[in-house]
Amino acid sequence: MQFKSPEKCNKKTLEEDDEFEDFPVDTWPANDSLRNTHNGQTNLWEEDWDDVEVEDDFTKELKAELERNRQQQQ
Amino acid sequence: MMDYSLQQLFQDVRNGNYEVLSANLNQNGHRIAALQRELHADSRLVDDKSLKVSIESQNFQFSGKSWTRFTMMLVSFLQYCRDVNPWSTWESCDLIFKFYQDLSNCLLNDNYPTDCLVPLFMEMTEYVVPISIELDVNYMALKTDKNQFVSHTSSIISKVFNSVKPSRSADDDDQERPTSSLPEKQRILLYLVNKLVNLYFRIQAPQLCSNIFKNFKPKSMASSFRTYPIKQQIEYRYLLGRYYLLNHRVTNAFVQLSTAFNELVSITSTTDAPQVGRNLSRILRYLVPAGLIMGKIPRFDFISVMDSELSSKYSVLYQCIRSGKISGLNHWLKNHERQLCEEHLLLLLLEKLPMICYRNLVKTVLLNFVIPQNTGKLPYATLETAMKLSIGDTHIKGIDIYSSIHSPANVENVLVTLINLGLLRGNCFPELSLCVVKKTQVICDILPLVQDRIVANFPLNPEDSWLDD
Amino acid sequence: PAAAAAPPLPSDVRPPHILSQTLDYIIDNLLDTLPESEGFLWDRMRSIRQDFTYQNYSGPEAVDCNERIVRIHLLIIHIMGKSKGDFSLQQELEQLHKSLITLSEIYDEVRAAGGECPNEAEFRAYALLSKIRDPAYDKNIQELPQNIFQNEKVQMALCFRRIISNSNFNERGYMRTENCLNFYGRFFQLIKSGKLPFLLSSFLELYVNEVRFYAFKALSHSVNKRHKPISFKYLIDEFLFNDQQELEGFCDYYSITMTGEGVELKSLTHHSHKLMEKRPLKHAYLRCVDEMLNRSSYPELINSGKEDSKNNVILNDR
Repeated sequence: MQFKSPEKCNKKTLEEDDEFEDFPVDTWPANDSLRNTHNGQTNLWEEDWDDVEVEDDFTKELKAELERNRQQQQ
Repeated sequence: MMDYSLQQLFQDVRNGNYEVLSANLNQNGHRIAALQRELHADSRLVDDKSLKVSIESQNFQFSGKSWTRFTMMLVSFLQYCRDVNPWSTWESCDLIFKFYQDLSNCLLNDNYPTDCLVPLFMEMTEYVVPISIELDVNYMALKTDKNQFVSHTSSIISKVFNSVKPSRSADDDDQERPTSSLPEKQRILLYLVNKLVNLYFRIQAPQLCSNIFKNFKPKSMASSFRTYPIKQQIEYRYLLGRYYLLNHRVTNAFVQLSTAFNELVSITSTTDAPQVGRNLSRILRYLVPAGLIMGKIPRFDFISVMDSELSSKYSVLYQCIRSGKISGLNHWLKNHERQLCEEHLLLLLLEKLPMICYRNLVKTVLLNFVIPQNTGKLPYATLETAMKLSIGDTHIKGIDIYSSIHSPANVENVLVTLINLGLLRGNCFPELSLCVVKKTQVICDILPLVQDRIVANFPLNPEDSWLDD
Repeated sequence: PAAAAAPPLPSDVRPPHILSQTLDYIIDNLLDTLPESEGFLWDRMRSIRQDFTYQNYSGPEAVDCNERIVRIHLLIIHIMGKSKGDFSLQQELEQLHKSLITLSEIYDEVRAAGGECPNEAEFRAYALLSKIRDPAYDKNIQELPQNIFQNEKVQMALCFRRIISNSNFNERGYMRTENCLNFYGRFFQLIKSGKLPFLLSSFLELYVNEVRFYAFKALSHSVNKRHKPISFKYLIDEFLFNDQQELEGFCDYYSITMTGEGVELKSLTHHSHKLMEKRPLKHAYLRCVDEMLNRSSYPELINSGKEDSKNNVILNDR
């Protein structure tokens, strides 16, 4: 069946793109590329690296500024 | 050309072969075409009244009773066969919707053998939903209301959903019935839920979902959520997660999206199905920002395997949050403003990321200034210096969402908010302009892990606990 | 003809242009009689709105009248906050919300037809403040076109929604959410910055006591158990109390202990700004907002929009 309309809108809306697609389900647990990444872990998140210090430009600048501040106080 | 006749149709219906009643032209077109020829050729059948008479004369019986709604559904089907224009959805849509509605009406009364019509109803739903979407996309040209057809379809499905009732007999509560012995409507309950929620999202009326989510469990006779098809379970969690996110309930959203993601990964491999990869991307689109709000650290190398664009986009944001750079956070939001608005994420992130960012800024100050001095004293002035650097230029004339929420002058307010959220352990001395924290070398005694605090303060919705039983 | 129902009396339903004139008259002649005339104005404005509803009319006059009625309600909120007189804030807000809902429905219709109303952004901003903790409004505003979203008044309203978001907010039927800002300091800084228009500031006055309550609450959680009382001066400056008397009234209402030195924040035991056992605390007015009123006349304030004439409702070709 064809749909005929004068001006067909082809813009894909996000609502459309947001909808789940039907997909095949593996019946056997072989060939699992994703699970093989990261030594078989599928964890999306780091366990806890919270105490690792950040070393980027902003942090360096911040440390320098704090140091200047400290010296001024003394 | 295949031959088919009204007589054969009636025989098939009598035998319970209801697939012959499909209005789907792609699958059932040959029968419909044959019936159209016959209905046009036979002058005794050309008007609606004689169609009805001829169906009634068949005297279909269901456990010895006649079934008026069933007759009406057959009339609509034959009207559809007679009048359908296979080249125009627009000209045929009234007929399609009439048939679909009459079919759904048959399912509403459980005193009739509705089970046998459920597969046909599902097939017709799969047929009608894309048609309604296509018609609505063209609403301007058709001069219809914006969401007219999708709304109509959703109202038909919601009536069927509402008609699903758990069995009232006391025996059923005690003994667990195997899924296979449940009524067909029970078995498609989650299918109906997902269909409806998708349609409500599409017509931008997600508030309608709340009733569906709320009534799902009370209606269900399944021994557990796990007995529904796994694909439907995953989609349900994905939809529920997005619904929570729209309501800014991040912890609940995170848990549902996270489970959806893990289950999808565990039952599939992306290598041979691009749909799986796209579904994973869909989940990640909401799961990654939810995780950042929870104070989690994404593994971007792993995410980039599935969606490199999303991974590089959010790793930039993550860098800003991790180092406590409010101006970077705002800059990132501004850069992605349109897309984040479409995803309904902009205002959520604008509200829920800054405190994580400030917490990390305070961390750098503690590690480099307070802890080395071993005084346990964080003067407001020190943090203000850091906030000036973090917030950046504040000399903006007007008011906008990126430059006007934050100001270095609000050191105390930031500390007070962190303390109240449980993200900082310390005491403020407003009139001394000083915050006092524990004298310790162990940073997590002063700044507990974000996700632990959030999980402790914002419990999960108990109504969802049955999903994990 | 006996069978037909009697036609409505002309005085029952006034045509759109008469309704506009009625409102003109009110604006030009009656606003100066506030606060005494509040009840009368409330009734007249409701009846103008009803007449539009009877006719099922949503043309330019309906947009214009509803817009000006919203502005009048906002002006009234400030005037009544300052006045000693009694009035029903709840009824005032009910009418205000109804007008805002009517307006957003019309704006949506006009947009669906390919047009746009010139003052839409201003009233979307008020709508954002009217249900300041309802996430559905965040959803809607993100779906509107960029020119609305980026409008300065909308941006202001969105700022305030973030600023007063608060993970300790407690009210029946409200669900607390994660990581909220509770930036009470910024709330008062922005209001006194002079960057906000009067009507928006007037609307925000409704939230002043609530913001103060949760600020006191948050502070009391953050200060040390043995902290000495917080000085009156600090609290008056930080939270824009008009004078010590107002601060004392506020503390009395929430049973917060005061000493000669100041306020014992730790004595605040309530968890919600709404006290079941007491009448609501009268909404606050801020002197800095009141001073803004000296700069313009009431009619200037109310008739401040771009004209909603047929020519200005831009209808694009489909």
